[in-house]
Amino acid sequence: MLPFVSALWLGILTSISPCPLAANIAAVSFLSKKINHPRLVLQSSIAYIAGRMLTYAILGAIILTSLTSVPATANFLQKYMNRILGPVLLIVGLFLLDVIKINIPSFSISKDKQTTLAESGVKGSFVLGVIFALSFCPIAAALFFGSLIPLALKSAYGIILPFFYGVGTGIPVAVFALGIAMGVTSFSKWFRKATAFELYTRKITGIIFVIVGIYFIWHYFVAIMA
Amino acid sequence: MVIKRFLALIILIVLLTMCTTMVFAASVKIVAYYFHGNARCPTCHKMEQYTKEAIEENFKDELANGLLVVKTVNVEEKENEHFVNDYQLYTKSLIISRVENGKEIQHKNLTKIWEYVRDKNKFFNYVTIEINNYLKDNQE
Repeated sequence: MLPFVSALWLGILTSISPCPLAANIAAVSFLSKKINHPRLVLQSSIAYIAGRMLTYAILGAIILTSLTSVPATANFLQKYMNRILGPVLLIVGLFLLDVIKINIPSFSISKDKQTTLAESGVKGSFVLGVIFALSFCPIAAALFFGSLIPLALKSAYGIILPFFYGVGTGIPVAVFALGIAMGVTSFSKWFRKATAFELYTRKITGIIFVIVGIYFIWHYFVAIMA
Repeated sequence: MVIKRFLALIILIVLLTMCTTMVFAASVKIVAYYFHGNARCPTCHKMEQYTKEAIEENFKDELANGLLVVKTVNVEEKENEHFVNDYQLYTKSLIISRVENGKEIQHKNLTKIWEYVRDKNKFFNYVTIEINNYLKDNQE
């Protein structure tokens, strides 16, 4: 029982440390976009956690079966994923702000479907979970490669531990997203302005994505050049 | 009598030379490496700073006589890439290494710096104790 709790706790520790804060803010805003529909926020949150869980599980399995070495994987991901993250967030942000529009020919995809893709609740959240899980910041790398992997190597259930770690990394973000959605829903009932606020949440998420994207680009491109 | 004294002197000289050569032969050095990459985070800067402060505060003599050396290394620079495999690095790390006659005898990854970085005293104690252990081994 203890290794599972430890793995979960290591995940939570990773998530609440200051270093993934920028990414977590982006994730919370993305998950709570449908702010007046806690059920949709819950679905997105579960998808986000599933994305993280699957990523760490695959990564853990690859390392535990010694297909790759820890230093090679750790350094590759830290070097390249964080560089990819900035431009991706920026583009998604501009897309949410309707600055960029993807014109998908109408005969292949219906207008409704196009909107769902843009809102990209469950699928988008899952992908976000995968991308954020792969962008290791130093503390995440220290805890995943330095604490979780050694723990998994010692444990008989080693291969399952990364799942729990993934859940742990997703929980704080999901709790915040759900908390905000539930808070706003009960709050807006008082004012009977349920739908008005939701019109802006997509824009707010877009702005947050652009800011966080620029932050990552600054940190992993510009600061390095200087 | 004179011969005896002369012999005693010679023995003394031989002994003294042996002694000094022994000291010089075992040229020991402890190196504390702080490894980082191109992108630096606030916590990473803090760890580097704490490491330097802890060592400067507690190992003045060892630093002055060259027994202890502190090095900050960027592993993303071509000439330093080998450290990643040498020490199996997966994040910013503090490694202490014991070098005898130019050859590394043993090293240790002080992984707990991540745990203690929020508590300056604990961090200082941890680094000081670990380095002291390495220094002690050398004196034996």
